[in-house]
Amino acid sequence: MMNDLKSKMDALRNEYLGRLAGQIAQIRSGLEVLATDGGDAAVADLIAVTHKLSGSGGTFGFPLISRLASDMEMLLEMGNRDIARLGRIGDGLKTILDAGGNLEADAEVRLLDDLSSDLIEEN
Amino acid sequence: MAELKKILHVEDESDIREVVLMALEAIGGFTVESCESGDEALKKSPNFMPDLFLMDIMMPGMDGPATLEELRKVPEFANTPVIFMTAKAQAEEIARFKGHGALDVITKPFDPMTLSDQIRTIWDNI
Repeated sequence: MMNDLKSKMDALRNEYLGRLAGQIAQIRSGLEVLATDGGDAAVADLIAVTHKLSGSGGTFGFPLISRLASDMEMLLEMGNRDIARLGRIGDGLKTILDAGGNLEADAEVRLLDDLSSDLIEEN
Repeated sequence: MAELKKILHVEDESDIREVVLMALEAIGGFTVESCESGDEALKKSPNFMPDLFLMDIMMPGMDGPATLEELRKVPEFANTPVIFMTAKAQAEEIARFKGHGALDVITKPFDPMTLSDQIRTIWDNI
């Protein structure tokens, strides 16, 4: 039974990973829209997609996706419109995606170090 | 408290619906009805008669708290326990949702392998 569950979870995880590329592309293009029009609609769209990733990433075994998406969502909700900062977090999400959803431990440390002034400090 | 058998899950994201269904049926042994919106939950609940509602908070259209408010107007569900799920769970928000009648709030992301245990623990503490 545990093997069946593991295969089913693996299948769900792979399906999720397949859709992740579209969602991260949506975040990055949303940031471009925000940079040009700065409108509430662009912010609402970005909050919606980062909220989804924040809640789902870790559930499917991609905790770093959740962490970065959650921080971007919080920054946007706090009124932060620093496109460069948000863009670096978006690039971080793309880096994780390109590595298959999770980074090797040393690469994760490097990414978090590079983003240390962009991410929200964890309590 | 009676044994927990039937859970009605309300969640707009299909990925999460699938993984919750797997976690609660295959691991927890519960009977689960999945709904993608508050409206669907209101339609399906009278036939399914859940012991518990497990409900996302942030959904397009009718959100979790609004769905709960509507369910409470139906006499059969006036006291049916509700657990909310959310990716944003500040302590004050959790207290607010509990004040609105939720048993507890489960934060996302969650571990599918332990979700059933988490729900059973909350249920056993009623």
